Amino acid sequence: MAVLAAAALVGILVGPADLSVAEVGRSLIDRLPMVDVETGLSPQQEVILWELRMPRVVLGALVGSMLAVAGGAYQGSFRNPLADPYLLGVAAGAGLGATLAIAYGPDSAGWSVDPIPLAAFVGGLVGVVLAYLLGYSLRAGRTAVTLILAGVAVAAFLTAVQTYVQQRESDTLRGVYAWILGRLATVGWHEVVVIIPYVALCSIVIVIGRRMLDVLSVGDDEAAALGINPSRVRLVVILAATLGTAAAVAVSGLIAFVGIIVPHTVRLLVGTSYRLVVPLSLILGGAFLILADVLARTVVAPAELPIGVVTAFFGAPFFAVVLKTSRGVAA
Amino acid sequence: MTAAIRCRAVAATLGGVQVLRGVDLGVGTSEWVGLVGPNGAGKTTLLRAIAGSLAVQGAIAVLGDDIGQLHRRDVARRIAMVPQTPELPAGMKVFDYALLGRTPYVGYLGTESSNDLSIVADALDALDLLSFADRDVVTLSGGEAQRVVLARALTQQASILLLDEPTASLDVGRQQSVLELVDHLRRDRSLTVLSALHDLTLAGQFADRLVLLDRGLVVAAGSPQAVLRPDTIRQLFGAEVRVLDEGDGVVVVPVRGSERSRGADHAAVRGVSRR
Repeated sequence: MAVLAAAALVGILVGPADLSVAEVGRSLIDRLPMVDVETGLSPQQEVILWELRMPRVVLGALVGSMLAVAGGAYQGSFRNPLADPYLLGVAAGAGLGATLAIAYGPDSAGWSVDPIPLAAFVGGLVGVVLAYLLGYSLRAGRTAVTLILAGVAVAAFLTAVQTYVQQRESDTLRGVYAWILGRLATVGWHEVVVIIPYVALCSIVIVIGRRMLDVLSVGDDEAAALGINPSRVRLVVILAATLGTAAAVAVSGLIAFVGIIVPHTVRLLVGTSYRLVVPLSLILGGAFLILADVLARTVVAPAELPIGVVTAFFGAPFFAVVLKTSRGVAA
Repeated sequence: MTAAIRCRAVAATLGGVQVLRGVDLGVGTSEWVGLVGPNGAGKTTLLRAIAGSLAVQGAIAVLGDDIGQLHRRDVARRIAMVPQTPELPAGMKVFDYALLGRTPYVGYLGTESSNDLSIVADALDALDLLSFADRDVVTLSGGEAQRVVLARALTQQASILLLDEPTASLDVGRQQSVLELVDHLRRDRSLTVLSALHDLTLAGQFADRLVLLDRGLVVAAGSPQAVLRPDTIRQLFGAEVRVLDEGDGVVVVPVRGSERSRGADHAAVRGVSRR
């Protein structure tokens, strides 16, 4: 938790407008009910702190936590170290949904609800439902492998449709591209309010199911002999991971690698039992994305890098190191 | 007395092949019954069916209750299964692996209690594994791994132990020590044991009673002396053996037959394969 708090503090303090730790601390205390202290911040700084930096840091924590814990859940459910939260077509579905909304959506300037996150959310869920239906309809039955293969097929199909739409509507290319690379831009607390119920509910389900992920690690046959229903456990955990991921990508775009590097780093630190991997991924995932966002905001300031570029830029080499050093542990 | 396990007309089809074709089997409380038979006889499938891992036709009752009527968790509290090739997850510590045996006692929403942890510690202690508690399960030798899987089965605190070829891939010394350990545990804890055993001598030495399966049917059942007969073994396994009665068990020794009997064996094998 200290790591997350430290990352949040860095996220709040770093930026063009100078804020001190003391001022931020006093402003936090000032917001407590029935407490009134002099913060030392100008009204403008108060707005920067509470309407710009704070929501962005909280959103980074929520999205990072969700993606990391969903990645761990997918890896456990499929017994596959390379599984990430986008495995079953949620990314391709969300990408298609967002592309359709950007390309064909009506002008939403006056709307109270932004249609792009909504379309991405629905698209992501449709992708996973299609993968599940296809996987379960295959003769080979309800195994994890058939589900993964179905996810690959659905993702390929949806990506093909998305690419086609993108080519046809090339004037929207930039908007689609920016969405796909991911960003944590916020408008006040709106995005945080939108995703917090999903992240809270889905994370709780996965944290509760963490013991079951350990049981799944001995294979479906032995898990059944230990008294659980492996298909049902997998369905519940994947539903939670997918719903949370769809909510996260709806507001942040497709941020890569968080779901892989965070759970694997935790495994290197504390071993492979999901009883620890799940809660620690939740905490470190949030901290990781807050820090990645700080880099995204500062490296080419005043411009911003897409956060997906930062996570992939650091994530890819890191992942190679993990694979090289962990040997049997990650595999 | 209620039988620990009672199978009636159990039939199973896997991948379009009928693997079990109406098996009747009874195992008494605290008895050790050995399942023997040639490859593909259906031993593993029968064990999986009794453990509740496989849906089958017919009726299987465990401690008097039909397993179809029991919740999975209740089945797992009554039966612990040691598979032939257990999955040992890379990176999992021995203690955490043994703790999986407590799954039927911990609710979906619960966590392991201190009682669960002490049961695991006791099981590791009983199998002389306490010093291994923090070891990664994939770093264990074959004999150590077999004991760790047994420890997981013990933490289930089930009164019935199903063992699928527990001595496969162990050297002769480890084979003996694992089966002696099982025998000690079953006497110590009044366990009922049903084990598939490939090695007929080990089966004849350790089991109270043997059930001989061939292509999904019980073809003989009874004492090792009654089941392990040279003519039966020749017919079903296509092997020439000498069976020595050692009083408290039998020893099955493969011998090279004469040219004539070898020719007869080939004919018998062909006859078996034609049936």
